[in-house]
Amino acid sequence: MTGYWPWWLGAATLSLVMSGFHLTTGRTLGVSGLYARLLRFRSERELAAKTEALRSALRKATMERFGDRAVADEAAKTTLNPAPPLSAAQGATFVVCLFLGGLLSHWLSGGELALGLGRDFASVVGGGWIAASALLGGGFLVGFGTRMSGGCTSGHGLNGCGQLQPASLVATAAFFGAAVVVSLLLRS
Amino acid sequence: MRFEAAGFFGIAMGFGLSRIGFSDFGEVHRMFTFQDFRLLLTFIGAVAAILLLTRIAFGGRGERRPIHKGTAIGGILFGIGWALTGACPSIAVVQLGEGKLPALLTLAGILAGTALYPRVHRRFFRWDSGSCDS
Repeated sequence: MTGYWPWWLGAATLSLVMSGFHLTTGRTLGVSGLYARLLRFRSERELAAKTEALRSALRKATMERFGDRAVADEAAKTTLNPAPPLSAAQGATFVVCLFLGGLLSHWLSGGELALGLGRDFASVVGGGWIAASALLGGGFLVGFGTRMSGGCTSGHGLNGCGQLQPASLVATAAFFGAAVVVSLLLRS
Repeated sequence: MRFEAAGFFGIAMGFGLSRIGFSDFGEVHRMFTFQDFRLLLTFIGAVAAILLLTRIAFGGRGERRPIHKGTAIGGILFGIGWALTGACPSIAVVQLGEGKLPALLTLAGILAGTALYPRVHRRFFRWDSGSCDS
């Protein structure tokens, strides 16, 4: 596919997606974090059930001891807390729609299934078993590294850098620098 | 409201990343080797716009991202993987939507690394990552 968007249109789209997501959900978007939540949704559900049981028991005890007004005050205070992270179902919705967005773009340009990642991938990385192990091993490094670093291109690179957070500036410099070095080595 | 937001921005991001060319290995490789500055400008432009919009809407605030020993090392591992696969976490899914079947391998690797990290962290690293994530 040729004729990709000019840089300003891409920048405008990405920034509106990130800021719109932040405004409507109260959370900044981080895709690697969403994957981690989706993978541990079962233990998270157990934890949520335990937390809720503890909270309602505490509320009941508070009402018995101090009356209903104390609980009304607590409800008013908790609305000031930052928004909770996306639930597993909301995260899954996002990931499925991310897939559908790619599908829509591909379908509108009359796309077909592809068995390779393109001519550039074949000439830079290789084919066959080399390509398969590069994708599997490289993917593993992406998953492991983003969790170690606490974010990926969306969480650290776009949102974190957009808030000038020190951790995100360090992480972005690290992943971008490493990718430049490896890409230059692959090219030569 | 959150479901609608997740759905709408998911589709917008998947469509946008595909049209920008972020899911094209060749385009990403040419960004990292400085043969083509379009994607780099897209990224820098997006960060600048987010900086401005976040200032206006939230006074520059968002969830704090803690800094620790893993911040830079993890970033380096991620960068190596990104250069090899051409994919960051969201891109693997977008590529699958585009019918690029090899992205299944990338996604399998990403999910394996994501699932394994917390175990390795508890067993070997154990530094404070500032959250109960790992």
